Amino acid sequence: MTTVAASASGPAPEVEQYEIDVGNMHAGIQFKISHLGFGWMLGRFNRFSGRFAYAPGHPELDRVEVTIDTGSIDTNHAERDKHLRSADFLAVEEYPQARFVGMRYTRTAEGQGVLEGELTLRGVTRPVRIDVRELGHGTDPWGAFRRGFEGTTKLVLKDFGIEYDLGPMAREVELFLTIEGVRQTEVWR
Amino acid sequence: MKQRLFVSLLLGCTLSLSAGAAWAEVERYVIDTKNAHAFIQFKISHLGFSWLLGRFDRFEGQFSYDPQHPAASKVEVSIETASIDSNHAERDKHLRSADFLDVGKYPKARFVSRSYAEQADGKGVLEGDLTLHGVTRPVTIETRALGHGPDPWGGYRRGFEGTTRLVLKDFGIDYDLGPAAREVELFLSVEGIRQK
Repeated sequence: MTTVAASASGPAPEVEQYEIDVGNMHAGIQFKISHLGFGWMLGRFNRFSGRFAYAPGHPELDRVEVTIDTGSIDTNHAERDKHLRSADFLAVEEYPQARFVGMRYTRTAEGQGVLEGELTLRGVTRPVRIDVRELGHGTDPWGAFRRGFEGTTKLVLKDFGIEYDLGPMAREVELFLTIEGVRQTEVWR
Repeated sequence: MKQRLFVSLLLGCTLSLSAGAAWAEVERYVIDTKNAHAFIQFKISHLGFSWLLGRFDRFEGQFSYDPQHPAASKVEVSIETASIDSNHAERDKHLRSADFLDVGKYPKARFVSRSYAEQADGKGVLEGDLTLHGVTRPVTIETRALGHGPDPWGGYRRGFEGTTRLVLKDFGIDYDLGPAAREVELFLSVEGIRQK
């Protein structure tokens, strides 16, 4: 009886808190968009930071926050990057940061799920869904506990007010994300 | 006799004409690295927890493509190993050292194709020799033809993507990165500008 009551009211599930390891850059935000249907333009954001909370067995408590320095866009071509930073695309002076907040993780199968959240890019906030794969977790050789994920999603540029015409093949950009967090002993907030 | 000579002349003429026509069909492309419409990306596990993503920033190459005989296509790419870029300067320094690419000793990696087979849906298999870290080994790249046609600047372009995996030890890179990181995955994208 006591046991049932205890589990019904529930001991607070343990929520693990992680900082994304950008200091040693064990994370990446890559994008891929068609170039006229002939090739891909691949790029990344070089500077971002974030954290996530992970509650084993309680995916509803999972949460992710990532802030991206939009000026750090890097497609391995300085002139093009300048154009991508301009008002034609990211307008980085006006919108120096993009931000993703993941608020709902639903496990769809062992080791994978869907993260729903909101992305603010170029001043526009829209819901996005990220397909997630849980990569692994454990103690690293330096004694810390790490946990990592990869994710993919697609964004329609126009949804975020980016109207520049790149042709019919380049209306959407695909993102590949990987984050590795180092577990924190201190709790946020 | 006269007629026979005429026929054989005609035949010879046709043959050499068609040989000439076939030759003309071979399109030659320079990979558009100048405007970075080509990429060499890699991905390797970090302790099984996440991915280390990187690319080579400097490379160049060319390919030939014969739409009538795709199997005759050829590719050559030369990569500046020191241009490795994993978005972390200290790590890149380590990757350039003798523990990994040893770029002082092996400043270039090189891929030269040996054979190509393309299906009707544009998927293909490209085989060739990769020289990396001073070791030459056969590699197989799974390819997909992306598209081709005139570009807005009066040129004609053709592009492909490809994926392959390399076992680091096969190329003499023995540094222990743990059991999850024996192999590196490559994603390649090349767009060529047809040469006149």
